[in-house]
Amino acid sequence: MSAIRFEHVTKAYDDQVVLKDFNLEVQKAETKIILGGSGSGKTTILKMVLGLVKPDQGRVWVHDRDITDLSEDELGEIRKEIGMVFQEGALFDSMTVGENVAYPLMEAKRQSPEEMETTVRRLLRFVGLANAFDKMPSELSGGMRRRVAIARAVVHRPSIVLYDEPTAGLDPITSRTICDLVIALRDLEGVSSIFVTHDLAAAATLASEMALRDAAGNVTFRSEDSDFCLANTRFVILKDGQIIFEGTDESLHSTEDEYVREFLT
Amino acid sequence: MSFITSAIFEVQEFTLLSTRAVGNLFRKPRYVQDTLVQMDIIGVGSLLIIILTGFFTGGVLALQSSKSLKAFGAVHMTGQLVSLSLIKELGPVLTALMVAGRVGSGIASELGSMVVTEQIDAMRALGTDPTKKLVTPRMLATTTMMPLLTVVADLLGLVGGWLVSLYSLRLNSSLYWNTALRSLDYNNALEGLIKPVVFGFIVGMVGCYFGLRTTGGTRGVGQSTTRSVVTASILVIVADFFLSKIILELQY
Repeated sequence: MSAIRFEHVTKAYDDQVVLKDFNLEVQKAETKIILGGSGSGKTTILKMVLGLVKPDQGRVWVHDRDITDLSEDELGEIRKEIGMVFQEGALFDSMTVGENVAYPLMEAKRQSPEEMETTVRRLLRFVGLANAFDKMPSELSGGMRRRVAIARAVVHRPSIVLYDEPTAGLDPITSRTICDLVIALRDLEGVSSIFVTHDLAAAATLASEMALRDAAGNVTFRSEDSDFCLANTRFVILKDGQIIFEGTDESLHSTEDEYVREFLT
Repeated sequence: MSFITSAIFEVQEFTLLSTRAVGNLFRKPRYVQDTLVQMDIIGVGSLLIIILTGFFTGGVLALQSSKSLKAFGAVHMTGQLVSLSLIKELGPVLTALMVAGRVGSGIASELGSMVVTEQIDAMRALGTDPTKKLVTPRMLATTTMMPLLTVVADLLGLVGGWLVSLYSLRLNSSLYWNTALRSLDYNNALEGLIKPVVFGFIVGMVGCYFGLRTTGGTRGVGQSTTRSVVTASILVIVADFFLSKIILELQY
């Protein structure tokens, strides 16, 4: 069973073709890192999984359900299963951080206000922003906003999380924190995800580290070494709307393709 | 796309959005809290400019018309002239234009900023229909607040006209109010209340429409704001003409 599947998807904006006969499959608990230059259709891929953008041709499947022709109301059901971290966060700037994170819970109306607040505070602690509950998004730095966006994307425990350049323009330390969050969600919660980026350092971290929970419940990270190789994270490289490389980080570095080599340097 | 096809396309999109916004009134979920907040921002927030607009419009009407009326020896009719032109035409139209400038632009720039910062996409991704949470509350707020603001403008206009008549034209107070109020029949008052409902709908929907169609970053937000004010103002004046025509036809 695959979490996300694209079949022969084509998409053009006016005359510009951004995806051409695009095929992709993301397995359960797998992370696909999509690399590609600006304007190579990376964000479009994520928005198609949510049904925000419809393909011109081809089909998109989420949890083995064809979502291509679903109406906005039917998509609502699918979207409850998916969390998305937008570029720059896309927090609602008329609401506090706490209200932003609680938003998916308030829409679902399944929890009491007290339960919601507990959940939201726990998540804000998880992303290291316990004190930000009553702040407005405009009072936060870019990296903090991105972390709040991650909290909002996962608060309703989605089985799929989509990341749209969550580390772009951040300092290495904040970027590292965000990568740790992504790794923890992947390895400890079994979340399937697509991670769109052109930050190679972040991509390398994701593909080579694993999160573990020790007996005391603390999360630790383990790097790839001679007797452990991570297989649940794969790279996809896009060029002119098509996949020109797909595979693990090991095969990425041994590839002969010119564009890929150029991209990596 | 030629000019004509793109114009037809815009009309179609606007109609679709309007139908959806009205249809949402009968569909759950309803965002009552958001609607009340918008009513406060749009209604209470516009009160001051409406008071000033109404007051000075009434005043200048009395001042200017008295000169022409004097030629016919009919200065005592100033009250009637002020009240009829205010309540049937100037009150609704000027209120709508002021609200289009203040509120329509605000709606367009707020929604436009939300589009360019992907907040609208985020909202949809989190399972909320932006037409339900953003468009319908604003449409409802402008449609209900516009008649109320118009009544305030009309009243202050009559007061402005009265003060001018009293101190500048040396008219008798009771004469002014008598001619002003006696000339108002049910039909005139109704006309003065139907128009602002339509104008309110236009201003709210045009603001939402251009806001949601924003593309091209912060510059796009500026363009949407400008276009929404211009379009709403023109539509208000055109609609005023046709509404007056229809109402006159119905009366006779």
